[in-house]
Amino acid sequence: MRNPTLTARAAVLSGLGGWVPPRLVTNDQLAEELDTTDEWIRTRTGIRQRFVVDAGMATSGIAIEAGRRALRSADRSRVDLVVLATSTPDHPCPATAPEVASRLGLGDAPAFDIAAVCSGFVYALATSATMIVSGSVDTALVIGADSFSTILNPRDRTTRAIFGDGAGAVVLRAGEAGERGAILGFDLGSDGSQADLITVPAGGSEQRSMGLVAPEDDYFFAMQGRSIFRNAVIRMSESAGKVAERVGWSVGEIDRVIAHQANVRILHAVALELGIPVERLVVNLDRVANTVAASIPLALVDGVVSGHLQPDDHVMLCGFGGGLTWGAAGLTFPSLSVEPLPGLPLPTRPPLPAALPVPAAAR
Amino acid sequence: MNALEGTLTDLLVSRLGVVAEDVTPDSTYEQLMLDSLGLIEFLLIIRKELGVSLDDDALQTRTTLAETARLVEAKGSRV
Repeated sequence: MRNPTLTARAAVLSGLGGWVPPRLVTNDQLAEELDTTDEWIRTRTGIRQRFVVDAGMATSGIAIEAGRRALRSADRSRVDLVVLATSTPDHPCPATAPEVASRLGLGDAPAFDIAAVCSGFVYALATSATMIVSGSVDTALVIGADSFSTILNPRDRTTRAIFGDGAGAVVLRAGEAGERGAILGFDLGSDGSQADLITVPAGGSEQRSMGLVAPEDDYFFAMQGRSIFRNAVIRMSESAGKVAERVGWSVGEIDRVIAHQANVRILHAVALELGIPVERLVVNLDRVANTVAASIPLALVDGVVSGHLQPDDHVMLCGFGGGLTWGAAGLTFPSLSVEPLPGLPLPTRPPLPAALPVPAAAR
Repeated sequence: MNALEGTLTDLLVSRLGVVAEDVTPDSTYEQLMLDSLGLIEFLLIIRKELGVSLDDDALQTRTTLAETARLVEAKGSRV
């Protein structure tokens, strides 16, 4: 008799794609207009470059490119559901997902946005997978897309260095829990008492209801780095640990960790906290910077193309972002055909930038 | 250097690449060339290895190793 756990209905990863806009901005280019240096950015973040949208390209545009690639990867032209994780929608109202679905030719499929900042992809994946498991839909396109360059303070050397624009997407289909690619378990969480650590203070109902124009800087994204660093490491590690326990993996059985690509020092601290070697991290923030909701699927793309991610690997995805929000998901990786990211050399294996912590003497 | 200061020194050297000979109880993190994120990394290492959670702003660039040991001791580390 077949193991009922293995034949249970599950959401299975069946397509993957990513896209970054064509305009490359290197650390040296940033240093030409801001008080920063390539060395300062690299030693504190691991980031070497980022891609940003040109005038006229909004989040829908990059989401469509990633969505199209994911559909091609899954060899599918229709899906039953479109979920877009973003905190830089084209407009405050309506959601961007219906326009993305329409422009992808996906007819009248249900489509909605999820706003969980850098945790958005994990939240969207959990929501979509749960709708598949419940039987509401059989297939879903899950996109993480952000054009954070449009909400950064042009004078802020820290956030300008950290963030880049991009989109990544996956296709899920109904299958069985015993299959390669099955999403095996989730954990999601939030802590609104620390909402002010990551915020765009103005432009929402709170400021508008007061009828006042806010100072210009309040319309830009702001964050408090030190508290975020500690929260990110602890929340992602704990969440990944819970998922591992739920799906029956020991920490040592996690082959690859694809954590939100915020900062390579956060990623290394997560590995230390979890007790796994840093070689098991998939890292591509040196190539594309922190792309917010797109970061996990973009790291998946580079992981597959570089060969760092292999079929049957036990893969742990973990995200952390504004809200605060966090989450993790575990899956056994499938065999996928994935197009490399445009405009970039092929990723090397393993795609690790400077090993950190940086010896103090070299700082 | 007392036992706790010695333990903290070992962690600075093994985990954050600080040069052992540079460390005295009066060393500040600035002198040991830890940057602002290095201070948070050290907080996380203390949390994991000694089971003591210090506040995010407990360690500053001017904080010394001896002051850190007293903060850790006040939070109840038995090392």
